[in-house]
Amino acid sequence: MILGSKLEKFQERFPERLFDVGIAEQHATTMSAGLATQGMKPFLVIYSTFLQRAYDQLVHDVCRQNLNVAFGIDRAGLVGADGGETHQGVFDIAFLRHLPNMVIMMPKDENECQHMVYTATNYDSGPIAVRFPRGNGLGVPMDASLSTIPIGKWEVLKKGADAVILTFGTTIEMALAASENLQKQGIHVEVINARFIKPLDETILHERMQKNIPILTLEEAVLKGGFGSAVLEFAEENNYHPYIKRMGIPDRYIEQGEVDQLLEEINLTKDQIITEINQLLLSSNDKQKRA
Amino acid sequence: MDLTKMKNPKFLKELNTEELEILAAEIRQFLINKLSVTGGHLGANLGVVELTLALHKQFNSPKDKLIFDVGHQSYIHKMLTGRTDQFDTLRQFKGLCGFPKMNESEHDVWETGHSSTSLSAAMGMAIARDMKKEKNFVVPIIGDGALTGGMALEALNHIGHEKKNLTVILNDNEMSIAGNVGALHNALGRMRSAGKYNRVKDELEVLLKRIPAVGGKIAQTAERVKDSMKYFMVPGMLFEEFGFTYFGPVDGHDFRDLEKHIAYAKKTEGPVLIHVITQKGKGYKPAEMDEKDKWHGVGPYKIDSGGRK
Repeated sequence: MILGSKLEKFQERFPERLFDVGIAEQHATTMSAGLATQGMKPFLVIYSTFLQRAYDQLVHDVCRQNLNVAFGIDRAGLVGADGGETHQGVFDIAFLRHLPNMVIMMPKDENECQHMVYTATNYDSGPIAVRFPRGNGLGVPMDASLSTIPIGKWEVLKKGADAVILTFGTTIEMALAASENLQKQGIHVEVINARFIKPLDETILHERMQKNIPILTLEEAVLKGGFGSAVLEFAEENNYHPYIKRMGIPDRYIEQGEVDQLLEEINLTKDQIITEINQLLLSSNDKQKRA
Repeated sequence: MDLTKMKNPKFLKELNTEELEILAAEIRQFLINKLSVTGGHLGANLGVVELTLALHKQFNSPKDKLIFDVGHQSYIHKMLTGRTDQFDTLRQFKGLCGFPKMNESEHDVWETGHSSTSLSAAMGMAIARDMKKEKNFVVPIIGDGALTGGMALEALNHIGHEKKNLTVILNDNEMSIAGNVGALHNALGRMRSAGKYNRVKDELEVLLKRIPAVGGKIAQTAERVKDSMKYFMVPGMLFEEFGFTYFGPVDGHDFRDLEKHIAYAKKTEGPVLIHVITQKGKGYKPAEMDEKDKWHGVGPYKIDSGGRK
């Protein structure tokens, strides 16, 4: 959608490089795959909720043939009142993450987003997605020159040795706020920008899990099959047993409402993060006492 | 000839119709023999022997992109591109894939398995070609069953809008695994029975232009009369309305008919659809008699009776 995804300026500047296929997500996805077979680098810009309609094309045409299609997944996360229940963009992580060859990123702000788009442009090892929320940027300064982000490399936003929050995109802000609050109680919680949902930053995970630091994962996406599940899988595959708590969207459809109201309703809030971290530390300390 | 000597389909350009017919018979016999041991998609492949030979003769693969929708009918393509000697391992572990596979051959430009993807893939390839200012044909080969798939209809809608050069081969065998369903199927049936078309349309246009239309109501009526005459005369009007130039119906087992229409199509600007009528199982009686498509994907069988081993 040219207007919905704000592509008017691109269209103005490169009219011959923009193709509006109409309401045809399946065709758009496989056509992008066709372009990629000929050495082109298509960007498929599509709302998270509508990408659902092209699942077989993702599986069978793009990921199986490991083609260089870049996805701009718009409206990722809760979409607010004007879309509502049918338009929540909360399933894409779960239905993309299990597809071989897929890389999934989400930026913390518009500046990181431009570097991710640049990263996707320069990536030629298969499909890669940048998911971003509905709404405006945060107003951060934009770097003048673009750089690629190493695939699978996370970023430590705030240091702390007592517990770690792994999160990305829209939920980073509440994680940082929770960490600030906890610091006043003498609890030092690390906050990590897990900007690659796939692949995970295994170096960071090995380090934290080897030290048995309690982990909280936080995502504005469905819990089942989501980012937190990926962290649990990593622990299982590597035989680590840290305390892990996942926060995210529960196993039900989320109705319409302003995003803040919805987050409150499903307990995806700063206060709940503080509660969960305290609980994690309590369990972890109990275990150490018993041992 | 020794079919295992076929390494590059270029040799087809030297063959005349009689030689092609002999080769087609040899390929059929090879497939009937080999598949009686390994099993495989016999019916679909027997139906496209002449079509595949004609396409490889008239186009230059892999520069020209032959895209087999669904892909189970690509056995002849595989034979012509140097894989005849691998048919003992067809569909077996680590053996020859039953579908197009990029890592098997540079002639496999698109992998399939599920239906209805070829038109979208072709559109992507055509756009890439035009952006790179290259010259080649993009030729999706899609069955009448696969054409009813939603994505194929999405693609038709977009192709007709963009007017890219594309040569769609509609392989119409009136049969899908589970029987074809729907209005499109019925429309194809009407086109089939409409008989030869052979670019009558051009002559029709000239004829229609002679109908005097001066202006006002009379002119409008004349236009309407012209339109309804077109619908009456042109069997592929459905595709014409979608922005395609329609050729057909073509006898998919007649080399002369195939070559003539492919040659027309190559000279035509914009998207083209060649409606090719084929018979699944052609040349093998037990498969030809098969009305319920039991010969779609078969296990090993006895060649004489068609009974299963």
